[in-house]
Amino acid sequence: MSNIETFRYDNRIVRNFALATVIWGVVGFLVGLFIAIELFLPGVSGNLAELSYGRLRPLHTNAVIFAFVGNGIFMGVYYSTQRLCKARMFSDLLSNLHFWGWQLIIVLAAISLPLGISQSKEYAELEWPIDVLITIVWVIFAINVFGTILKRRERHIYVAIWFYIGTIVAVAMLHIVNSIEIPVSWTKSYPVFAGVQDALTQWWYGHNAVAFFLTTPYLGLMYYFLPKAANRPVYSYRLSIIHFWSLIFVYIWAGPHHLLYSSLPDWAQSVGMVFSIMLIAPSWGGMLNGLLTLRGAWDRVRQDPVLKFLVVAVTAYGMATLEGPVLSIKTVNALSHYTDWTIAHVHTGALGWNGFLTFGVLYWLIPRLYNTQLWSTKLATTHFWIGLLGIVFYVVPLYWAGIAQGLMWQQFTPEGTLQYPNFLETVVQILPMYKLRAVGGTLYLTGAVLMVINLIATVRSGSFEPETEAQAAALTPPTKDVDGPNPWRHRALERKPVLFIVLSLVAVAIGGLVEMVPMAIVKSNIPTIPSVTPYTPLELEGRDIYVNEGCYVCHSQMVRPFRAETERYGAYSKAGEFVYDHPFQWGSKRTGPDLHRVGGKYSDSWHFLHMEDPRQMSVGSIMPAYPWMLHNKLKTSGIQKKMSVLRKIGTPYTDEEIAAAPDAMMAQAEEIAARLKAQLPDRASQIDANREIVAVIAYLQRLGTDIRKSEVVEEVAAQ
Amino acid sequence: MIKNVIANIEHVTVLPIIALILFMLVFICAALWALSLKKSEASAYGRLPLEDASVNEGEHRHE
Repeated sequence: MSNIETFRYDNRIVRNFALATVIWGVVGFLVGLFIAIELFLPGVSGNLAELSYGRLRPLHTNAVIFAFVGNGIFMGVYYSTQRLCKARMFSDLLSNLHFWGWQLIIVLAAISLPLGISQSKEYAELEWPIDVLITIVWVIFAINVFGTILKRRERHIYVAIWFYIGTIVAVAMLHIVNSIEIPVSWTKSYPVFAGVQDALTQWWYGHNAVAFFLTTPYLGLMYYFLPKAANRPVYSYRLSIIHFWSLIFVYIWAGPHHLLYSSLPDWAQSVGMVFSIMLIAPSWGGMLNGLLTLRGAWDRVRQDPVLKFLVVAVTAYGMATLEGPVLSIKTVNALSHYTDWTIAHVHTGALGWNGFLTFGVLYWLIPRLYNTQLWSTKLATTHFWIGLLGIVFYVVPLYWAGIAQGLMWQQFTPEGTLQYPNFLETVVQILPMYKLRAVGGTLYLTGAVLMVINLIATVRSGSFEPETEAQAAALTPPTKDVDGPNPWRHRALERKPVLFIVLSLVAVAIGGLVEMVPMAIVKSNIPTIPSVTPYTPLELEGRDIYVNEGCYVCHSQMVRPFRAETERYGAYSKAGEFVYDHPFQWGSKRTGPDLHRVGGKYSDSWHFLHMEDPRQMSVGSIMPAYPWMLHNKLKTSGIQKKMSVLRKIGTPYTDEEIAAAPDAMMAQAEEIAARLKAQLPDRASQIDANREIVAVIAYLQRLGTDIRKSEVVEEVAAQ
Repeated sequence: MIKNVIANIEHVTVLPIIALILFMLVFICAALWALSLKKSEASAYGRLPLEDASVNEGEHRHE
């Protein structure tokens, strides 16, 4: 061929992302271990606000998802896209902007989350300026990848790149829709959606963050690095086509399975459940395609730690994607939801699928980037076994804990009362499992440290190759001879990357539109309740503190319509009760009890002492202490701006209410302070109306009480 | 008009059916595309990760 071109693959950007993956991985695991320990030793934080569980848990999830896995994705994408397209990345400048922009986002997250700057939407906690930055950096990434595809020298776009395209398109859509928020200040915003709509948007995002950030890009990596490591092509290329299209189309519908038995309309719950069950088919198709790629090479799995990691990763993917649909069956979900079963499930995926696949790729990639051999195969094998033990010690105790606690919540005595009416009893029972989980986390982290040692030694023993020279023929315009007479064939489609991108967007957008548009426009989906009124200024401020402290990570605000729940908490939650909740606070885990009906359940002084140190009121409680709330001054200056913003997005505050807000706030605070002083005479000198705790108490005492007003009205009307 | 149609709970149940039909269409199209690939093409495409065009390709392989 006469038009052979010589070019160079950029290895620097791959090396940079690999380095970031390792560093942030260790940081993310360390934070995870720390918060795992906090769950049985709540005092380990030293009662420092910045180290409290509610603030650090979002840091852990963001660190492992966006820093560890995120950098892992980019490492793999930048390495494989260049080689599959037989082209250098579109722009070195964009590559570097992407790298440094992403690291800046991570650093901003690592600073802002411990400071309590949070939107409280799971895996989307970062505040609006960081959201904007994420959008910009993601667009840079998209241009760089799409530009590389357009200037490729290989006519066929390999299936791994389809998964990258699907990821880029879907994550952009999810992030933008879920981040529609109105800023109040640089560190505070309110989402435009409220209550049920906000919940559906959030879990459409949250579920698909798992789907399109933790799964589809990693499937792309699997389709590239597994054949590479096994030195044989993927088992069935045809199956990979079906895998791709059916997976991205089905995944996007499944979000409502996070909201089963909630106040979400039943039709949306059913759609979520059915599509979740259907997900087994494409997921297992992909898993089998991965495992069968090793046909005839299983003997090498015994010797090669890279293949060991990849095999366990793909198996963990299979386990997690079987378990996910099972958990989406409503009757199973009734038991599993809010328990540690979910935590075990996600860690099968995170530790097994994402973690082990990343480790396998790193062990394969680093020696190649540095022109050397892996320093110690034995140490890598040791990492494999310690990591595997870590996963077992992590997930098995949590399955036990989740199922045991779920059953205890539902257990009735023969007389028909709750067997364990005190929530804390069910927590104390599972503390040994939490300790075992920390052992699992320690093992997993130890394995990662061994990997760091091994990779450093590998790097030292080799010399980095910043660029790899390659040669390939330039693409010639398509001809009938090559494309065949029938254009309606996949190979024709995949030669038109722009059309491919548009079709991917259509596939992922349909699910979102069908589920979310009716929810947003149909009033009958959210029956209004006349007695539900907006929060007072003080309650609003208290709610914002609740949001910033991350209370939602341990407390739900959603009483499901089960007798076991209504007996324990009170009337089940109605959609109309959340219409002023920007953002919703339904939560997804009950490490502590549900709080939707906590209003009026305890005295103000109980809350005061409980927040100061939960163990003063509940011996054995594992809740963090919040002593700083007793000292931090209540912010009154921003309340009018907050109310004005909320009015713009539908909360009916009047001009008069907004004008009088600071005064109204302090008046209500004085009332609460007076009650506290009366209830705690020996602490009277320490009680001040102008403290955060007063606002938090105002909010907690308001929670779930509006509906009782309507009950009183109905009773009066009946008389 | 659309609002009124969807607001009626009986008609809302049509949404999951639409979803299922859409999925079946996508699935059938993807399957037809996949099956229409010639064996030689599928085999060549599947080998792409193993042919990365680098000049010293395979030099650093451990196996």
